[in-house]
Amino acid sequence: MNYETIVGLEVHVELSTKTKIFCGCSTEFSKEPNSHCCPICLGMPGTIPLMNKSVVEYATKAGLALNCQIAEFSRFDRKKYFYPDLPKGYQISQYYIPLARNGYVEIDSNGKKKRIGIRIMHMEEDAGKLVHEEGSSYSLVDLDRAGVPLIEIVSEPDMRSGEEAWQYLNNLKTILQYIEVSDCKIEEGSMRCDINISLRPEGSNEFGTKVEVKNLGSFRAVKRAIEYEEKRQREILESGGSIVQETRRWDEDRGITIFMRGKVDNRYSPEPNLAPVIMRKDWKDEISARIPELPGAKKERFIKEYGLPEYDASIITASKVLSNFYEECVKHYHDPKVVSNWLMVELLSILNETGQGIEDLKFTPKQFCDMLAMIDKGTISGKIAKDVFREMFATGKSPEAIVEEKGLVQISDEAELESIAKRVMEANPKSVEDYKNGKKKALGFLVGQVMKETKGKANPQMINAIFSRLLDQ
Amino acid sequence: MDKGTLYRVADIAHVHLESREIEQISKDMDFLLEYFDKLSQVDTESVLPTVCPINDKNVLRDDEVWDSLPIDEVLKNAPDKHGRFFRVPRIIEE
Repeated sequence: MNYETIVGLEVHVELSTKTKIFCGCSTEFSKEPNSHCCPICLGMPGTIPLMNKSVVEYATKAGLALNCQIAEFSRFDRKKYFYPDLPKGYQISQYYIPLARNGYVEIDSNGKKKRIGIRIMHMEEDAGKLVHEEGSSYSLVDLDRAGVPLIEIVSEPDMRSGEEAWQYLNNLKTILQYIEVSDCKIEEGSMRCDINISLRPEGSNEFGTKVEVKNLGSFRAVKRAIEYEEKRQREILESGGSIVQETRRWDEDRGITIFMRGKVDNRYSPEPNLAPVIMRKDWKDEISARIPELPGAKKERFIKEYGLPEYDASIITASKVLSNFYEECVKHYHDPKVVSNWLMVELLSILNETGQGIEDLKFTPKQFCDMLAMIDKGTISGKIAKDVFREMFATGKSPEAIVEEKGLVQISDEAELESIAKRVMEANPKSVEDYKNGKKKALGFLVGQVMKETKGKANPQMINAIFSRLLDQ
Repeated sequence: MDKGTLYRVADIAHVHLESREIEQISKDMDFLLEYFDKLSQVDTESVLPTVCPINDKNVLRDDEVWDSLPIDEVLKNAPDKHGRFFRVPRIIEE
C-alpha cells in the first residue's frame, strides 16, 4: 500500500526585543549564567508579570506578515508542568484566545505555488537552560533565557514531505528576518522547530496517529527526521502494527528518532495577573504600515523589473541585506544579470568561506560597480577582476587603488601583445606546428603561455585575435 | 475525597503528603468541594467567564532594560547551587 506523509510544524521564534516579555531584564546573550534575572523571571511568589509593549507589536507584525487574522481581544493562560528550567511551575502562554489565526506561508511545490496554513500564532515566554555535566548526578540551571519573548507558530498539517517542510521553514525564517522581529538562528536556538508527523493510506481523508519529534538542531535535521519517521512509521504499518502517539527525540549523530515520552496532558488555566491585549484597528494599521516589502513580492518584482531568472531572484531575495545591496548596485550598473551573477557566485562563496555576513562588507555597492565598469572598459580582465574583488573584500580599498597598487592594469597595447605572442611562438615551435596541423587546442596552450608571462594581465580578446592572425598567415 | 484521588492530586501537584496528614486533608477537601458544589448550582448560562476581576486592558510596559539582580541575590534562596548556577538533581529525558 502507498502511504501519504502528513507533516505539521510547531515553530518557536525568539523575538529580538530589548527586554524580556514580563520584566525589564535584558534579553541579550550573557557571558555569565544568571546575569539577567529578577524576582519576576525567577518566579518569586508575589510578583506580577508586566507585559512588554514591543512584544505585542513584534508579534502582531509577525502575524500580519504571515497573513493571519489578528484577534482584537487576546489573553494569556498558564501551561502547567514541572521542570527545573521553569521557575514558576507554569509557562505563561496564550492557549484559549491566541493573538493570531488562519494565516499561511507560500512555498513552491513541484513548480506550483502551495499555501501552508498557519492555524495559530501566539505569544509566550521562553524557559531557562539546563546544563548537564557528563557523569554528574546534578543538572545546572541558568535562567537568563527564562522570560525571553517567543512567538509560537503552529502550522496546519499541510506539508507532504521533508522537502516541503524545509521550504516552509526557510520561507518563514526569511519573512521573520525581513520584518526584523527575530534573527531566526536555528543553530543558536533563536528559532526552534518540533515536527508532528503521521502517515495515512493514499486517498484517505482521515489522519493517522501522529508522532511528535523534538530536538531538531537545523533545517537539514528537520528534513532528515521527517524522512526517517516516514520510513519507520511505514514499516510499522506495513507489518500490521499501529502507531502510538508519543514524543520522540531526534538523535543527530545516529540519524534516528528515539522514544522520549508518552502523551502528556498539560493543564491550562487562565492567567489572572495579566490584562487582556486589545489590538484595535488604528494600532494594527500603524504596525502594518511598518511591514516592508516581503520576500515573495520582492522576488516577483526582481523578475519583472530586472529581468532576472527565477533562480537568481530567489537567491538574491532570500536575504534582505543581500537584496538591498543588489538594488543599490543596479542603480550604478546597467546590466542587472551581471550583478546577480557576481553576487551569487563570487560574493556568496567568499561569505561562505569566511563566515562573514553581508552587513560586514567593507566595500560599497558603488565601488563594486566601479569594478564592473573597469571590466567593461577593458582596464582589467574578468579573471583579474576576481582577484580585485577579493582584495576589495579583504581591505575595503577602491578597485582603482587596488589595480594601481598591484599593477593589474590589463595589457591592451597591440604592439606589446604582438611581441609577447611572437616570443611565445618562438619558444614553443611544437605547439605552433600542432596548430598548423589542425590541432586547434594548441591555441589555448599558447594563450596560456602569454597569460603566464603577463601574470594574467593580457587582454584575452586581443591576444586571441593576434594569435589567429599570426598563426593563420 | 477518597484517598486514591487525594494521592493522585498530590502527585500531580508534586506535593508530598505524610500518611498522618491524609485523614485531615481528605476532610478539608470534602469541605472545599462542597463550596464548589454550591457554586455549580448557580445558573451562569449567560455569564462570560471571569478571568480577572479587574477590568483593565492593555496594561503595557515600554521595552526598556532595567537592572537585574546581583548574582548573590539571584541565588540567595536556592537550596543548592554551583558557581553561578542553580543546582538540581539530574534531569534525565532519555
